[in-house]
Amino acid sequence: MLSPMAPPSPRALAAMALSLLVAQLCLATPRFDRHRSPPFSGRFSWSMFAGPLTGRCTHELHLVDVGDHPLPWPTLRHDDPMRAVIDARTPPEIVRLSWRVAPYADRDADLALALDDLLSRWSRTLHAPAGSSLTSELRCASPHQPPFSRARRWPVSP
Amino acid sequence: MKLFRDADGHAALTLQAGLSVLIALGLWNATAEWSPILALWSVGRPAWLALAPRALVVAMFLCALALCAGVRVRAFALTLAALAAALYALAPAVYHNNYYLLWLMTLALAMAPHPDHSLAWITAADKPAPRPWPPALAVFVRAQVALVYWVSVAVKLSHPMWGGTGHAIQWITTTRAPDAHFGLVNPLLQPLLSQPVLAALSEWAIVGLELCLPLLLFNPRTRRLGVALGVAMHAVMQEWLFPQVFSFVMLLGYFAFIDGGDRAFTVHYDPRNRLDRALAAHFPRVDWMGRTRWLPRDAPGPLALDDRGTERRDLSALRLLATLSPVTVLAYAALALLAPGADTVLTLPRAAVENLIVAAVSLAFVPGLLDRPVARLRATLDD
Repeated sequence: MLSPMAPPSPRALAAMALSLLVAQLCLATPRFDRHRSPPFSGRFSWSMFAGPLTGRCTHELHLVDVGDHPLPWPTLRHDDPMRAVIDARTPPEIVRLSWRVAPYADRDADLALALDDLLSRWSRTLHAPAGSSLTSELRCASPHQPPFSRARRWPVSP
Repeated sequence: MKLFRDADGHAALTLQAGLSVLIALGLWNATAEWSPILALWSVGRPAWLALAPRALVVAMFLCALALCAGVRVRAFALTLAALAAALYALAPAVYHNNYYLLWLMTLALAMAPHPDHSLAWITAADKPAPRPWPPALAVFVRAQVALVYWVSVAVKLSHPMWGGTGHAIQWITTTRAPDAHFGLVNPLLQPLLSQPVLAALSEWAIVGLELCLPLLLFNPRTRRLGVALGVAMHAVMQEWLFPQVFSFVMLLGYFAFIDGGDRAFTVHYDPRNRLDRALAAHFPRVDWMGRTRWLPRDAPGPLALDDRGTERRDLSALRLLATLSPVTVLAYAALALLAPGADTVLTLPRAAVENLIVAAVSLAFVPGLLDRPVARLRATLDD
């Protein structure tokens, strides 16, 4: 099948070219949303201005003790990737973060899912007093989407 | 199935070799973009699993190098496409539409039967004519280029922010571009494109251009106009918004519309001139499409290119020669993609440096501006 010298049948070639083109149209079309805010179109679609959701989200991330009092963050190296997550609070900061965890997200909930996955993994690597937990609160009011909020708490390893 | 009748093989080899180089450059560039993404993906995962995406990237890059060397192109292209799919399955955050386009081209390389190019063929001054072959790869690339433009038009026309309101262009020039880079083009364009009328006009111009480009490219009589407009559009977009590998895949795709091997451009060079001698010796190496024939002059005279009855001399000839070789696109791609992690070059923003280099080169394409100085410079190189 992979021999470069195999004589190709014109019918097979036409089918190959057509199937590749039709397949990508089928992937792109269901994600098309004319109400989407900039950058306009999503994954598998051809517009120069496709990209991550321009959410209007805010994020609060805290490390708290058993009485819900904030604890200081553990010392992180200057190049620790989690610094960007801790620092992302405002909508522009969230947009920059979403490039790294949920590019081309179609809904605010997709960003929440990606954050849940990341923060649950990180919480297992943190060391804090017994009973401490990592709390995350994401609130979004993105255009053309219903208001979205989610709050999660993960226990932190002592 | 007239579309797939055997054709000259220059386009197939050009696309194969050119796409291989773009895949390698695109992957090299992606490493910088993927580095922070994979760092976050690795948080809290076992070390062996955390290394898996990086191992996939290394394996993909090795496959890309094999493609560049012309070694079992279809097998390595298929392997690379599979590795890229595995990387996406493992870490979906590495997704980008530009890489999706590159992945589709890799898949086309794997699926379209074609004879392999080779490093020897790419670099030979006296290239043997490729054997005729069904132009499956070229047909796919033509269709893909058309699809990208037309889907882009559909997205724009159906979005309330496009459709001639000017809002989209204003958002791009005031929000998107300043957030994305420190290039020199947006500060120049912003005062103009912030004007609602000019923003609306430029929206319609972009939509109209994207709608017409495939039609212009498919028609042999309007192809040259299509190439000129398309190159201008992609160069402006690249220097303004830096879509990176996307620009170069599209520009290389223009070579799929040409059959090649026609030796349609005869270049008369002066063997007593060092510049002419060097061009005659080396240009055929980068003339992958087989468009030129080089003939020495009997008497001293300018470098002259016979462009279907019109004689172009010196810089005018060099301008046209530059558009005949895919290596021009690859050199531009290398300029944009080779230093992915560099934010600054000699204290200047990297984007601004690229803008300045492209602006300097573009001066050679302004008719009449540098023609005389270049003719005088050439004259100093006579033996």
